[in-house]
This record gives sequence, structure tokens and C-alpha cells, in this order.
Amino acid sequence: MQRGDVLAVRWRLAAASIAAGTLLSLARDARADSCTSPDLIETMPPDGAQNVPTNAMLFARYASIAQYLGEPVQLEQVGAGTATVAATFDDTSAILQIAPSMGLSPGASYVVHWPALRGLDTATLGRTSDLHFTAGSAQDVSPPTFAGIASVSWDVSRSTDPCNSSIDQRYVFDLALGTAADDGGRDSLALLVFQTSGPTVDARAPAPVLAERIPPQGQAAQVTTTVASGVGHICFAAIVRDLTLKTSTSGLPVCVDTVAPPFFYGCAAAPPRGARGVEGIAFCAAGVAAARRARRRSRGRSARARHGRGAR
Amino acid sequence: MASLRRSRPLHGPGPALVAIAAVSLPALLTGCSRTSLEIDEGLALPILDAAVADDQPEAAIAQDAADAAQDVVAVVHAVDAAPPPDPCAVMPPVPCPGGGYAYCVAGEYSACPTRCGLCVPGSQQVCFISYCHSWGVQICAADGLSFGYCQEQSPPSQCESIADQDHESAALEQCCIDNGYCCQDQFDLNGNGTTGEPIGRCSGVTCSP
Repeated sequence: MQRGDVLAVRWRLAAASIAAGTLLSLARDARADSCTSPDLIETMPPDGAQNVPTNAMLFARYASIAQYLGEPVQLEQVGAGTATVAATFDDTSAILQIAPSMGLSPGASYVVHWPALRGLDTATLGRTSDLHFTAGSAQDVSPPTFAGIASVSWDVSRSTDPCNSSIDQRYVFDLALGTAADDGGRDSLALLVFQTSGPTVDARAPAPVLAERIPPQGQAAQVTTTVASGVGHICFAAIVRDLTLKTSTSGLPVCVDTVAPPFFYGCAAAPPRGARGVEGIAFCAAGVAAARRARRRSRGRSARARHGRGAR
Repeated sequence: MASLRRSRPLHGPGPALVAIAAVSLPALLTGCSRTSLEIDEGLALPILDAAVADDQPEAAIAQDAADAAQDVVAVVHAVDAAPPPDPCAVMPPVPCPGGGYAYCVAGEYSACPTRCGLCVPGSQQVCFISYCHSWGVQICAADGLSFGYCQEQSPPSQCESIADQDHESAALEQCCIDNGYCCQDQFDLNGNGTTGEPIGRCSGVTCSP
């Protein structure tokens, strides 16, 4: 190989590495800019739903920064044709909804082509998906029933925020839900959670804190608050809403008392942990013993040190 | 030193300590738990102690069971006689001006929903800090519940002289507003008695439409 060839190869390698570096840095910038995206999050009914009431409305929930600018929503009846249907968008919950004008045909299969939406102050389109479902044979005529929130537990999370790189400290409340049912099917219900008590809540006007499709049976719903609004005596109540906008009652609020962070996480051998309590007791006993031993050693060292200083 | 080593194992608590811990820690630990659950109104149910029941004659058990059954029936009748009124039954959802509905929850109408908790995720507002430039930007968190740190930036040319002379001041905040920015109301220029909320051209930053 000639010396000139070697130099040429080196130049090409250098150019390639510079180009790769530039691409990588561009990719990093793009990720930093897209900390939020107006993506479709979930639909009601869920994809693949069966026996959807023939008088149902259809909902798609997007990320909170999504805005609707009249993008067409297409409803396809499999084997029959596709039609563009009028849609309405609720800015407060970022939910796009359609109501088929003639209702759904009993037993027919449908596909809703939800549009990709843009975000506030951004031209980037979010992700979307199609909703497939099959209509049932009956209408939804009764409001849903809901036993309300069964219990609340809480924790504090600390994580680096993808938008501003700050460390966000949040209360995370896990809400165990009571039994919910509806003649249109449980899985199509929307869960609406309200904070009825707390330092930033007016007791006479519960604050809406969560609106999403009801979690699967046995799974908790999760509410996140700031430390300022989640410390102290915190209460929640919830209702469910079906595909015809009929709602359940809320039941009584369920409350929990939180402690302001930072707090000591030790001795977490509380009764709800069940069998883990025994391990916790053993761990705490070992901890106390270790602390006593360390204290005794420390005293011994101090005594020796004093003795040493005195000897000088 | 050697006698000390022999007196008890090097690793592990003494037997007395273990005994004390085993007796006292369960009581202490229930207090240690930082999470507690309270339900505002609960129903106290009679509990039949199995250990006590084992010592009683069968006739007495039968009599107690009958008494308990009567008590339970009495409770059920009382509940049937006076079902708790549900004020929400006559309080339908009310449409909100900005979208969504106010729902009846636990006997009260809820507040109207808003797009986010504090700010639109990823949006930003101008803030004022006591650094060299007196001007900065803070970005809303991904969950829309808080703004991040105020990161220093150069002020726009229209506000440079004010930043140089008055530094972090009401005049600089007013300049921010006058030039079409969304600004943190650090000096209560809107006179609402609170500070820190966004003020100025804040469409796309605040949660209300």
C-alpha cells in the first residue's frame, strides 16, 4: 500500500467519524426536545373489545399537550365501507370522541382510524393507532355501578424529569378500586378520580386529578401529586363513566395521612406486609445490636484517646 | 482484650438484646410504619374469638350464636330502614365553560377539570434570578406539576439595559411582559396577592384555555 493511499483511508475514516458524531449529537438533541409527545395513550373501548353497546360513543385519550385541529376521524365498518365522522375534543382531558350518527350495527366489526395530533407549540405529530372492536346486540341502558375506592397507599418518588432535568419529588398514591360493572362491559369504563381533601383542595369542590380507562380488575390506579398538594390528610373519591356518558356514584372518600419527606424509611415491618414483618423485626434487631456495638466501640476509642492525651 | 473476645460472639447481638427486641419491637414497629390508612366511616363487626369459644359448652355457644345472629339481623334491618341518602342522585354532571364536566362527588360538585396541574408539559416561562444576567428560563416538568430550576440566559435586547441597571426587579418583569413573554410573576404585578404564577402571554404554558 502506498503512503498516499494510507492518508486517503485516514481522511475517509476521520470524515466518517465526524459525520457519525454529528448524527449522534443531532439524535441526542432530538430526544432532549421531545420530552413530551402528543401521542394517543389509550382508547375506550379498548382495542379488540367485543359486545360494544350499539349506542356507544368511542373515545381516544391523548397526551395532555395534544391539540385537535379538525383532523378527520374515520370509522370503518369492516366489509361495508369507511366514513368520516364528526369528532369533538375535550381540551381538559385530551379526549377525542366520536358518536356514530346511526349507531353501531349489531354484530358488525369496526375499525376507528384515530388521527395523529400535533402538540401545543410543536408541529411534530404524535403516535396513533387503530381501534378494532365488534358491536354487540344491545344498547347500554343502565348507569355503571362502582363500589368506590377500597384503600389508598402512598410513597414518595424522586426521579429526573425528562423535560427539565430537575429531580422531581412526588407523592404517588396507589388507589385500590372496588368492584365496577356496567351493562356495556367493565373494561370500557372511564375512571375519574377526585382529591376531596388536601392542603391545596377546596373541600367544597373536589379537584379532578385523574381521568383514564379503568385499570384491569385487581390493579390499582395511580395518582401523582406534588409534595405541596399531597402532604397531610389526603382523601380521594372516584366515579366511573360508561360509553354513553352515564356515571356511577362515588361512595365515601378514602383517606390517608402522609408524612413530608425526607423521612426515615427504617423499621418498615408494618402489619400490611404480612410475613415480611418477621424479617423486618430480625433486621431491626440486628440494626439495634450493631448500633449498640458501634456505640460501645466508639466509647472505648474515646476513652483510649482521652487516656492517650492525658498520658502526654 | 482476649477475655472480651471470649465473652460473646464478635458478630451478632447478645441474647438479652435479642429477647428485648423480640418483645418490644413489634409494638414499636407498628408505630414506625409511615403509612396509615383511614376510612372516614367504617362498620364495626362483631368478632367471635375462637379460643374463647373452644372453652364454652355447646349450648352456650348456640345461645351466643343466636344472639349474634339477632344482632346482625337488627343491624341489617336498621340499614334497610334508613338507607344513606345519596345527594348526587339529583345532581347531574354540569358542563364546564372550558370543557369537561363538574361531577357530583361525595355530595359536592367537583371543580372543573384543567388540561394540566400547573403548566403544560415541556413549556417554558421566563424567571428572574440574582445572577449576572438577572434573566433565565424554566421548563415545565413532563407531568405538568412543576417548573424546573431557573437557568440563566441573556435577556433579550429590549430588556438588557433594565437587567443591567435594576437587575432582578419589578421593572425587569414588566419589560418581560411588555415584550410578549410568559413570565413568572415574581413581584405580583397582577396584584392578586400571590407570586410565582405565570403572567403575560402564557397561552400554551398555563393549564387553563
